[in-house]
Amino acid sequence: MSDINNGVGVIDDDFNPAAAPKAREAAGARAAAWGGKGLAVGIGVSALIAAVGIVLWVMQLSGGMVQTAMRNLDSWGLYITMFMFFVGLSAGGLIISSVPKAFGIRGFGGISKVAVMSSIAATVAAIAFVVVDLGQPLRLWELFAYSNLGSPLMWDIIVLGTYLILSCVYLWAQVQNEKGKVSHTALRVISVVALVCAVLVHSVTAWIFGLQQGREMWHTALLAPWFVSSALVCGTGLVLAVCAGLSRAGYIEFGRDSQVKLAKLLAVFVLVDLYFFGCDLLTEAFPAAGGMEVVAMLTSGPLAPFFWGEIVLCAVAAVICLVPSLRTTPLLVVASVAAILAILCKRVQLLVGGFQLTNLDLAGPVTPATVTGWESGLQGAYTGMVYWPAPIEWGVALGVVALGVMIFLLGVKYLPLRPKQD
Amino acid sequence: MSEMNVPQRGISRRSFLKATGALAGAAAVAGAATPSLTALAAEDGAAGAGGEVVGYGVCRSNCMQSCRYKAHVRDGKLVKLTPAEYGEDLYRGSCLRGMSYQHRIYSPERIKYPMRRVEGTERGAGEWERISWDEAISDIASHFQAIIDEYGPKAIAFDFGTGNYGEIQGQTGIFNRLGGMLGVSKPAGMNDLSTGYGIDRVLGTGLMYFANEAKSVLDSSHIFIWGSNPVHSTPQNWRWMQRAKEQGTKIITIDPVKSATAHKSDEYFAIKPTTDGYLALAMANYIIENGLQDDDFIAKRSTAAFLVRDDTGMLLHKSAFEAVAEGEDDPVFVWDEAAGAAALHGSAASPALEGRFEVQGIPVTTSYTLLKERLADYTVADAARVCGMDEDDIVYLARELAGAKAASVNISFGMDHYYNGYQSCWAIAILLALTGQVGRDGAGFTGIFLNTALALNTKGLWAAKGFKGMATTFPMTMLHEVVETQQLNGQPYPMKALVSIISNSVSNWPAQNNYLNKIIPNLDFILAMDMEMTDTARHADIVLPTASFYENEDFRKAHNLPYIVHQDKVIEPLYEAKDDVEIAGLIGRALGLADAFPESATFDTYANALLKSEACEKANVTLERLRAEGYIDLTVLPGKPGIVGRAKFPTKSGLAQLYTETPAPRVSYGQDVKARFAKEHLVYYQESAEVSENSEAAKKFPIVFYQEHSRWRTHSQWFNSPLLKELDPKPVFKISAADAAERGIASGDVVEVFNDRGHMVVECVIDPSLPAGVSRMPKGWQRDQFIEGGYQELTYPVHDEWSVAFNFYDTRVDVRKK
Amino acid sequence: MHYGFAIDQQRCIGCHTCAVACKIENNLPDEMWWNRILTDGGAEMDIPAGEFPNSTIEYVPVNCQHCANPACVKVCPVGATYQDPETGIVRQDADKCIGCRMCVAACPYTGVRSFNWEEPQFMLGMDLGDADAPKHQKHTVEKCTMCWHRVAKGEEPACVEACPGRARIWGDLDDPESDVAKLVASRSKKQLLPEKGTNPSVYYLV
Repeated sequence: MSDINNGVGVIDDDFNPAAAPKAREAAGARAAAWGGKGLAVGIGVSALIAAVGIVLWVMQLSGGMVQTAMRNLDSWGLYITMFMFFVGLSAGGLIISSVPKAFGIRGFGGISKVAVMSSIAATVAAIAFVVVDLGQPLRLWELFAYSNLGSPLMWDIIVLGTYLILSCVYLWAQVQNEKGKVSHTALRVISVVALVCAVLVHSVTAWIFGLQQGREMWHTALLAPWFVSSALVCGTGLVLAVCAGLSRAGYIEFGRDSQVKLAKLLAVFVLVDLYFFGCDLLTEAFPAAGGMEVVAMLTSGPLAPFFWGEIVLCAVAAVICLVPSLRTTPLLVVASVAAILAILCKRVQLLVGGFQLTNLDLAGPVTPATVTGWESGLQGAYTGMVYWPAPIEWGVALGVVALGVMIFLLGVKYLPLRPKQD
Repeated sequence: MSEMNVPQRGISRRSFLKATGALAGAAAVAGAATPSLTALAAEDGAAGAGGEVVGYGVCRSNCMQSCRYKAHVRDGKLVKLTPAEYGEDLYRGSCLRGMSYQHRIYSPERIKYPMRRVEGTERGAGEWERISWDEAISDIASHFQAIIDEYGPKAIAFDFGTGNYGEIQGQTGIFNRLGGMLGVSKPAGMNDLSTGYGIDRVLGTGLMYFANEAKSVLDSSHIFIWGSNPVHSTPQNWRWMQRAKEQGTKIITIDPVKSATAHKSDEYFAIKPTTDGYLALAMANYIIENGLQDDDFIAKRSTAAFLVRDDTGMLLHKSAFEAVAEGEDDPVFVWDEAAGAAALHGSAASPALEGRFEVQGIPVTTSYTLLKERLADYTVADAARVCGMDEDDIVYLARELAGAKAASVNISFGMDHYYNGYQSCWAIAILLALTGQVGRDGAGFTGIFLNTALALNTKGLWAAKGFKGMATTFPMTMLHEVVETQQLNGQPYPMKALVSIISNSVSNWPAQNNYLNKIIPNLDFILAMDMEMTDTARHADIVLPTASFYENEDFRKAHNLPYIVHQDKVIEPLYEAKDDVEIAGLIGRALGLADAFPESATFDTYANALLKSEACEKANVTLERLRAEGYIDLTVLPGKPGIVGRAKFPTKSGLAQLYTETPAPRVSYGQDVKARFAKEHLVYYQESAEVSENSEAAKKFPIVFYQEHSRWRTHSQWFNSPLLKELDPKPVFKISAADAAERGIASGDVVEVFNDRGHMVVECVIDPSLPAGVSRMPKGWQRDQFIEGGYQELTYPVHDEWSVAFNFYDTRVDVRKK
Repeated sequence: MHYGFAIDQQRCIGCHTCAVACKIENNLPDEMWWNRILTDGGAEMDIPAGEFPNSTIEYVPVNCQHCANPACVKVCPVGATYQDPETGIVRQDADKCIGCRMCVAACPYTGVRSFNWEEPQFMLGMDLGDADAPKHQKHTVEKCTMCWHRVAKGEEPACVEACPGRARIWGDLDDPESDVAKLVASRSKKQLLPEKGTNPSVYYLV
């Protein structure tokens, strides 16, 4: 593509009063028409996988969730793990896009809308993960009819819904702003609201777990800020990786400067996240009491691969992002992917860890409905990871991920997400 | 605190009873079987809300606890069983088996139709063809007739098990009439009889009547739980013991393993398996040496003063000096100290308890002196070594027992199941007699209380014109020899057919491989009647489906309780199942016994015959009253628990016997008992045959193995309950930590447990209740539930020739990791 | 009025009769046990802890604790699990439950809640128990109802009626004259996981 911006320091497009309305329209029109065969194939493939996922989901509903690996003592699994993960992924785009606008500072002009689009896709996927986890999805309407406003899950549903709508509005506002139909002030207000909502969405998701006094692993005040930081890690990683990809595909310009800035941000977020992790582990371990169980489970127990995986991946990401000579685009993509996988590891630790430690670990009757590895008795079931997904869960989860990808790609194909500069 | 105030739903008890009475009368007239409650309700229009009818029944399983249940029937199906009241609230009992009996009734595995082994297939191969009842009965009759014609009726063995204690449909019920009319063989029973046989030497209580009523423990200051585990095996009795404990009674458990009961007791003393008799004798010796015995009891209520002739070992009777007419009392001499001469018992004010005397040239010694001399052989120091206990503990136990205000001993059938079981129980009975801990409130044995108050007219049920009786000429342990050799004691004894009546002998007799390899293949015909495909039914030629507890009417002279209890027929037999009354009638008539089994005879006919006795008349026990009231209280002394020997012991003299004048083997089948006759007068210790550390088997097989009576099954009943299998899904062998470590075995490993007789391959668990060298597993599992083999392969088929009992626990094994 | 249980652990012999009574009374589907008897001992059911002869074992029957401050009620997004204001019984409305299993995650008392992971199966192919026993629905959460259908008729819960050891005592904890209140007041007792702040209505008499 010819429209390579080689200027140093991209000015956020909102701060470019000189932009001509005509050019914006042109940009919109062109964006709608963008995309080659590769994108079409991408959309087709993701649509197909999503469709397979839906079929599997219907199978899960008709044949029963007994086909999943979830059981009474580990009643959530891959779906809720992925829900947490995708809520996190949804953060980065919106925050990266809205922070500069909200605070009126220089941002990442060229990637702002793509970033928000990634948020929208991730949010849809997150919501879909909740839906596929429900036993009675046809009763979803009850959420509105019988809302228990005291339930963190209800909060999350409200905030997630709001967040999704706001993300769309925000994207729309940016496009309209480019067309001159929405004022900067309005856009700025929307961005502030979106930012607050983004922080809330992570906090509330954290509270689904963190407010539960019943589970040692989850019950910590740190969980909400930690979720925000984790969201920033994987969100930033996602934006960095996606933009690098789109830049390579020629869809957007992803300047060196933006890359470096995002890399630095990613490094900071990773370090903050690790810092929180350190704080939490210390708090758990220091009294040398019940919390030691959590530390032991993570560092040397069944969840150790995910714990050390997270640590190593975070370290890799941080080193790449912090050492200037390593900040090449490919390595930054590596760092981003590492950061994303690190947070996925975190999510697995969090979810499985919540079930791995039981409050009443007394021997009792065990039936196939009790726990995933019931055949080897309660003790056997907890020797390794108490939960590991069943094939149908992998399939449904893949379908949901494909749905997110499809939405994103559709956005790329049909929405004016490219920067307006020509 | 636990009084119930539960309003009954459905039809009221009163209206239900009226309905039963009326219809039962009608049925008797019509000569038909009693209609089920469902039918009643339908006709009566009496079904209440939800169409739920409540009938009553009594669990007739061989745990001997006799819990009474309310049966809730909806749409013709027994949907729920709940504990029903007895006069005494703490006798209201229940357990997980009784509560879930409908899971046996409606189990998909229930035997539904008469079935015949497919021609040409092996016994036990599992190939069956469904046949009609007509075909089954004519097939059975022709087999029986052919055998009777060729070999005589004794060539058919009736094997009565313990799956049903109903008086008509159960172990002592209608099939005894069939067997007795035909004159078949009935191998002499050998289950749980050593305890009673041993105690009988002292208390004269026969084989089963040694125990006080369960609630008597409320009067005990001490409860010694000796080799039994009531928490698992008789929880309804444990309820009373727990109450006693709450009132301050001290509970002391003596057991080789730290049983569930030991864990609930105040004190626990571990003892080497099968050395209990030694411990009891050493305690008795210590008590006497230290003057802790109950002299008053010994003088007034025991035969201490009875003079024993040194020359013959017999008591010195009046007949030694003058003629005593046949049937006339022949009293025993004691030594009248005041007169310095022998006097007939009862005529001397203070007979000598101890001493050697001469009566008209016959040297005599008092029973007590002989006993003391015998006991002197058993010192505390030796006992400590033999029993693996501390001397201090033995002394403590002796002092606690002797000093107790009232001590009871819960005994049941733990020690019973060893070769030396009767000597152990005999020794404890002697110990109780010397300490006066028997025959009064709170003192004596507890276990399974049997009501002596109501003698039923068994003859009326069993016998009709032409009654031959069943031949009990050899014990069960010898059946495999008889079948294999067709001889008994060297004489021809043709044995061609076996009939399994509420019994699962393949599973529940020791030495399973003998059963499988010597009995099964050598018989012409095997008939089994059951609800489920037990190990025995699997090996039969014809299997008949029988009715469950709730599919027929019956009553039980309750074991363990002072009641006689009625069972309503609450549902019709499922599928093609029939009750024993009907089956026995069909077979009987097919064999030409129409006089003994007339078509018109129903349950009522037999029930009324059985209840036609003087005792029933006196207690006003009638079928009508049982139907109307559900149960009848048979308490002898109102407000007082039944106590063995409260007034006098059921011995010839009415006294506790310290010396057994004429010991007799429990069953005489031609064995030689001369060798030990002289020894059997006075209690002594005999080592167990295999478990003893000094046995030959001990050299080869280091681990003792016993079958645990768990809460999951009663013997092999409930072996296949789909409900209970959710809680207790598979056989598990329990091994001590030390034995497991030595063999590199961990919990969850599959192990092979073996000895020279057989093996089983099964999952194992390390059980800290077990000392090194002792293993166990909950019994009742059938062969197909094991990975290989079965636990009953491990047990041996021999018996002590005096007690003639099964010795299931007298078994040694070794274990290896698979 | 606040109904609750006292469970006398001295009397409890771990016989599972209450669990069986519960299972039958409430017509529970296969593999589901609202009331489970846990072994406070070794790693396997009915196996004590420690070494011979000093081994120890106790039984802890655990059903829904009907907490005065229930964690499950707070988190249910649709109010399908709720506390009955009149009796304090924590109830579960299967018709309303969306199957999110938030309550399962929230409940500190491991395993008292069950999810119907498939269409409920019944091993005897017929309904058992009370005619008014709760209906069981696929993909919904359920648990001990304190035998709501019996309590509503003035009866005590099935587990209490069935207990051969008379170890389970049930009644109004608010009524100082009730057996249960008297026992709770007079005996040394414990609640499960008091540190979780749920204030269970089940008291274990130790």
